[in-house]
Amino acid sequence: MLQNIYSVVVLLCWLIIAPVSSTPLPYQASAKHLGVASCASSVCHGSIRPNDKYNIPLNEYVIWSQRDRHAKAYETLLSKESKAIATKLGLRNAHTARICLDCHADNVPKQQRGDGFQLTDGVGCETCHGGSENWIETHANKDVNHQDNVKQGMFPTADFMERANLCLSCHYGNDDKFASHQIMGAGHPRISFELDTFQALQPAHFQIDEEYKKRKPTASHTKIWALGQIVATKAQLHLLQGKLISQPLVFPELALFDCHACHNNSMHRLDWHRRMNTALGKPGNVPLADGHLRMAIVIADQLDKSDARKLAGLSQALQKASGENRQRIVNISRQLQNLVEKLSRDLAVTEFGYPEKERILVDLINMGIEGEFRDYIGAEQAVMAIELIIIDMDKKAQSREQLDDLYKLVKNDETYQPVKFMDALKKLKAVFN
Amino acid sequence: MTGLKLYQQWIVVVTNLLLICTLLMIPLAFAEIAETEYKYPRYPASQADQTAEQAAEKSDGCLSCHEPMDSKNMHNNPAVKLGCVDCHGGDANVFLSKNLSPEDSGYVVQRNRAHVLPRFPEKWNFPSSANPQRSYTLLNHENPNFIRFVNPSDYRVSKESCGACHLAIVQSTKRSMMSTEAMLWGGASYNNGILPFKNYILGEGYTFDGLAAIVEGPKLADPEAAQLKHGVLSELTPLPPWETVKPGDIFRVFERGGRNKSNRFPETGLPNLSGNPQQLVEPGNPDIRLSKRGPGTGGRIAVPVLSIHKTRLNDPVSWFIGTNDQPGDYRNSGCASCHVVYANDRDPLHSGSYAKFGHLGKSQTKDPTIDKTASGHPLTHQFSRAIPTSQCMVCHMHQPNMFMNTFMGYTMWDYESDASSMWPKDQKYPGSEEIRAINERNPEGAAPRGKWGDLDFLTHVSEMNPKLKDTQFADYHGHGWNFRAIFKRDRKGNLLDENGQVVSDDDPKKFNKAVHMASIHMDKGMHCVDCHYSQDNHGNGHIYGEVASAIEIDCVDCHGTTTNYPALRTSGPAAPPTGNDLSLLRNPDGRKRFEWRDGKLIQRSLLNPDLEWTVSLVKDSVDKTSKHYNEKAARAKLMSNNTQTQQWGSDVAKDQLAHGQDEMECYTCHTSWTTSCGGCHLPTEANWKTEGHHYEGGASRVFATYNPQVARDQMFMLGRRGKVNGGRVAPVRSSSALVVSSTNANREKIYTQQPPISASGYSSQAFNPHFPHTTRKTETKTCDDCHLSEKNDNNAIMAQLLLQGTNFVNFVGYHAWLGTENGVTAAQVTEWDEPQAVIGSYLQKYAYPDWYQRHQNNQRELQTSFSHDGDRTACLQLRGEYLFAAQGNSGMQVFDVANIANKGVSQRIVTAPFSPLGHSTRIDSENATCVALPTNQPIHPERNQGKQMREDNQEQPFHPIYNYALITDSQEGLILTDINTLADGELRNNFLKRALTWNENGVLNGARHITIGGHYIYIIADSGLVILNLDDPLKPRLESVMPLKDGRASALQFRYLFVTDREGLKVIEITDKAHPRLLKNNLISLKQAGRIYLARTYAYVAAGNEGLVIVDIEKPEQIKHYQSFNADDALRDVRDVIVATTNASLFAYVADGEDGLKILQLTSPESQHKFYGFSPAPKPQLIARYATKSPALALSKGLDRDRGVDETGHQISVFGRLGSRPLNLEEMQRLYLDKNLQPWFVKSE
Repeated sequence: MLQNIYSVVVLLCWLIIAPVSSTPLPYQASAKHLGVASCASSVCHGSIRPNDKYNIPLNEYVIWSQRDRHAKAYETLLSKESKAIATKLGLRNAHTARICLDCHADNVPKQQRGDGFQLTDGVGCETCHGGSENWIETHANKDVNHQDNVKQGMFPTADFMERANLCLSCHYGNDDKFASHQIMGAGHPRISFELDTFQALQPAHFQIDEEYKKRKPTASHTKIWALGQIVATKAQLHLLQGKLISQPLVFPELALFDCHACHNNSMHRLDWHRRMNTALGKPGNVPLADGHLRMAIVIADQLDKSDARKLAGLSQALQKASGENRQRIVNISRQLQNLVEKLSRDLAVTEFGYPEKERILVDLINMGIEGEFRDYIGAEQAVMAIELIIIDMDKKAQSREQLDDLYKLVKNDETYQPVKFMDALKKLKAVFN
Repeated sequence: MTGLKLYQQWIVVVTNLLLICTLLMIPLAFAEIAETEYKYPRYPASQADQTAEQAAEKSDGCLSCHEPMDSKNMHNNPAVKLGCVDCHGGDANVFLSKNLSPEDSGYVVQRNRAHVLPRFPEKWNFPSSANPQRSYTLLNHENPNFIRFVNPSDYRVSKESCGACHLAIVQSTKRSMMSTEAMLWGGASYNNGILPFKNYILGEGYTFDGLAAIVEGPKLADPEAAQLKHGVLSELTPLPPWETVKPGDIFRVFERGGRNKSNRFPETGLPNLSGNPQQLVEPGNPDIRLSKRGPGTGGRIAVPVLSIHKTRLNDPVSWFIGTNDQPGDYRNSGCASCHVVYANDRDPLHSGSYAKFGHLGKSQTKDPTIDKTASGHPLTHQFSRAIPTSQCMVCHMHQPNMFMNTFMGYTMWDYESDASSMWPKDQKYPGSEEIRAINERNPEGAAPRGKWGDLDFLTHVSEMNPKLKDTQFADYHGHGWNFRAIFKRDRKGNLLDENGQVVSDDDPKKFNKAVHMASIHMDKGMHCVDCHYSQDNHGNGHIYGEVASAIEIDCVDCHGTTTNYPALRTSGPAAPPTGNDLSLLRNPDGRKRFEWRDGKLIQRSLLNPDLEWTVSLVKDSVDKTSKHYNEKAARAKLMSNNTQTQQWGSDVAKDQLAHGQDEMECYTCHTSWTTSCGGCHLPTEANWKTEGHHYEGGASRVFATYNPQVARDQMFMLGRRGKVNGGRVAPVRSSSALVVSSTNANREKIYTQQPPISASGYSSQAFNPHFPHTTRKTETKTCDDCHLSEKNDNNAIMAQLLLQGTNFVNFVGYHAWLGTENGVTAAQVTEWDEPQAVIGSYLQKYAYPDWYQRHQNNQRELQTSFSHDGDRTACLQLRGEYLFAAQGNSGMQVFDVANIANKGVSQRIVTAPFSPLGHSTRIDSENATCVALPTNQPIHPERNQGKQMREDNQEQPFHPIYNYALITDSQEGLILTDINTLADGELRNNFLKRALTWNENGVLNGARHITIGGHYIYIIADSGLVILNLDDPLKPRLESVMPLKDGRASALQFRYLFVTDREGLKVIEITDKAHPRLLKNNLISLKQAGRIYLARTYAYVAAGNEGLVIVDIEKPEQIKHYQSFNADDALRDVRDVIVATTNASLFAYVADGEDGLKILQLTSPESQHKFYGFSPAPKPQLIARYATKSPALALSKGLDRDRGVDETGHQISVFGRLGSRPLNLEEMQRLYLDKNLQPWFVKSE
């Protein structure tokens, strides 16, 4: 089950040094952000070609700048679409509005911006790695390790949980920033996230080689996926207990619900439907978005069967509660959260072996065939999970065609057809049988 | 006998004395450099990473004196941790004791303990830290530890200081042309016939210890392909010492043999000052040769190599410190050459925000120990990427270094404009010491006579601008030179404002109103570094020999094409396969350099954080729906190659575009003007003992000043680039139209104003395709700059464009050559001193007022001439050291005129330098009437053969007509003789023979004049104009005969042949040689019309008793009488006329029969304010005369300086850049003839 002892040791050290989820996010810390240009010099992180002399490729800036969508996050706010969204929200401009900049840029307070800082750089180096004021001077020293830098205020992105938490702060939302249903209503696209897949798509500007493994924790795709799911679940459960669900408006925060419950075939049309395998909801009853939670159940199944059962039960109860009253949602969320916290702790010290991965895969496929992912969000999460687990199991070659079909089916949420999705999963299953 | 013995004894005594003196002098010479005994610790290389505390420990002692400091480690990035000692070496543990002032001896002790001390304190002006003036090779002798102390970025030591972080760049820069100088050495050695390699092999580089090094490039998988496709060279070897390089020149003085009469020039490698072995008289050997020993000895060395070692040319390159003596000369060596900014120029467009710090290299540092009043200090102790253009101009103000003055709208001053402000009122007679002192700073021969030789005057030259009438000067003066501004003018020379309206020459604000032709890029606030980024400046690690191959940026990278917006990826010849991504670039303030905003491409200034501009996008300019649509641009860019319809638009297929991107460079049209250095004079003086500027340095005899002769800005010419640059059509400039002279130790002029011959045998009046960097929005080239205009008024422009020459910038030097009734005569017409002003001219009046007055007192009569009496000479042509003269029934004689200015030779013009048994250059014939050469530039076709020339050097072959001299004989017709023997350096085979005699059916009976236009020749004979095709020179083909009424002479300009006959001047269109067309109603009636000279848009006709008749030929089909000039009856029998340029002025030389030679100044800044125009209207003034002994009949045409190719597309002059060349016949014709060879025309609007 454990891939190698060394990585466990690193992981354990890591966990001891960086306590889970306690680090303030980069925008919450007080250090100055010196700006992308401080990192971008060709002899620092702006090397055109990856170098083989140092323990990092040093072309991070180039990858970010050329291929990472984060580099364009601010520019997006200048688009016509963004302008339209801003107008609908009663904002003068998207690129000046805090509500937009908080996720589309490194929107730290003015006094925290160094001379070379440019808001226009979007989601740049320090948006994730933290303001460099206190570590820029030392971090290039070969005697200074990552833990030293973290102590000086660098954000511990190497820790998967911290990393997931950081990503989710925008890619799902937290108490400070959240793409609410109101923003979506003004035209903002739906938000979804899966840690392992998104990291690959970013694309990653680090190479996990021997050097990296010596210095930082590594894990299988499945494990990263699982961690991402758990952290996402926690985030969701947290928000479900927060003011968003309990806000005193006519409607609760609808962004916490399953979009496609109402916007099934089109984001412009409403057509409620019942999930195939559950008969809990009443017509018109809006299910909560529980894509991550459902993944968490699959993960839990590998860790502790009884937890998995509890999780499944509570998850059903949560959906039922969404048709009943807000307080119940909060209560069930709290119970779920406790369970997920435990799960998270168990997971942190666990790595999946081949049999576990296989079981997760089979579970996911079977769930899908049974109609569990009739909803788009579930299907989207399932496809990403299925793919990364197959990659992890080194089986991509034989199932490439089926995976492509699955991706095609979830490419556009407005044309998603659950029946076809189930058929495709059957075909995939046939490959592995 | 007794007398002889005494003489011999005396010789022995003198020799011994000389030897003793020499022995004494040797230790003295070495003692000049006082070496300091000092033990140098080897300081460790700087560390890439260390803690702040570690860095501080390496700085603390230093800061006890040097605090406050601008930037402690010069880097702006807090991640960089460096202590002072990391870069500089020295001892940071020495702290200044309190209350010690710099005057205290204790201070000095502590300072010297902390610092690294120089080996040559006097040379460094120790303890001053200002860069010494003209230090040149001092760095090669100095201890590297001290070099690292004063400049850690010097290339000798930069690996130890900068290499810790920037190793790849440190290595690249040493291979870059800014360090190796390969482009100059390669070009100079090839163009002067010293080395036959167009893939250059020479380059400068040094070891840590300052020893000459071979520069090696990275190992290549396929070096041959890299060379062929990318111009990448494998390695460069050091320049050999000049003492061991044999001459490439074929001047007579370098020929074999000769005793060495009382020459005090020591034999190289022969420790014998008196040259005793050569004292023996050897009968039969010419006694005016340099040495009978082999080439490379006894002064028989390659003077250009010596010049490269010793003149400033483009010295110093970045291996050395700037000369730090004049505004525009302040910089350091190595990385700091560019990255540490010095105050060089007060113009904000050149220096950006640094302009306010003056131009005297003074510091603004906070460092209290630096003297702020001393020149030679950087502005601050701080690296910068915001490098102003003024810093680049420290080197790039000289032609072999790209001559980037053009970018700023300047070119070299010509000594004439505003002469009254630049020359002293009283003539200067500088002493040797003064001359030497000034020429050390400024290699111009004229500087010691001008006011600008005085540093204080030079510093303030640009402040005179508001008062000046002819021009405006730049505020930078690299090498001590003056640069004049270029203003927009029409072809006649009228100043124009931005709307193309004429600005009056009398308008006091004319220079504010007229457009200053700097690049639009500079007008927008751009500096060099706003286009040329890291790789262009550091190199990509490979060795290149040509600047244009080493550049990664291309116009399209930022401006895009007609079909694509710019990708912001470099795509020039040296760009990596997918280009460097410009969108990654960030300015010092952290902002992106390029950014797309609302469909606009914004570029931010690297120097000025508040400045940004919108980049013009080609795609928008041709898109009708865009608000940036420009119909003129769209028409030019989308024009089809169908010359009939001249249809244009976006529907024209890519392969049918007339101006397709693959076919021509953007800047072929997007160029407002090009610089054309129509000549430079390098007179070598054996008696000037001077320092070498490269390698081990050291003083030795011989120095050559550097004298620009004609710097025009109205010449636009086209050629093709080499393969590395896609073979595209590009503007061509005259790049090194050198003439060289030599004055030996006895002050004898052993060769005079000789153009060398290139290694390829082509003339060294070199050209090369280039990017002029004068891009402007409005002032671009337009249709009729390259195609026949509808008004048919651009015949001369076309001749210039195609590089066929316009006979305007031709060079008549020290002597004018005349044919007379009784032989040939050379009259001295200019000063020998620099500037070589024509005697009696405007320039002489200002540069030599005393001598000008003396000339006036002499009734303007020239004083010096040399003749060779003989037969009537009605036609003559000088080429190199030979004068070709048609001498009637004596036939055609080639005179040896090598010693025309040699005071050691009594008979200056000889038929042979020794007995006719050993040399005969006469072609006997019945009645030789005229002789013509396919080119008057010295060439040697035999050099241009074999695999090396054809394949390695990618040279075109010579047309065989270039082997011959062409003689007309009134009875025998056409005679050809092979004259290559005169250019082979072998003195024993100079016997000319007839190669051809041709007079088929007597068509050439009465032949009297010949004009050559490529392989077509135009002979005036009894039958009229006879056109022959000499494509096979030994088998002439008659093309046509056009009857004339007693034809006299002809002259050719592009599509038209001008002829004179009994009726006057006529014009014949000769586009179709088989069917020449005599233009009707296009006659200038003249009674005694004789020879014709065409100089751009004016024809000068020798009209006998009507004087000199000047005809406006701007429209050859509608020629107009402009002026008949007889200088108040002084011109009474005009037989021949030639025109030439000296400096900025145009002169006519007139053969006035009985009255001899007359010189007319046609334009001067005084007589014609439009003198900078392409063809200003002449305002003739008689300025000098020379009464020949017998009537003057003919003149030798001056050296062609703008003729690189003939009318049939055969190359004449060498082209710099591997594989580049002038347009061939087919390519020329494509610009103006259709498929049926019929002319087509363009409308410009």
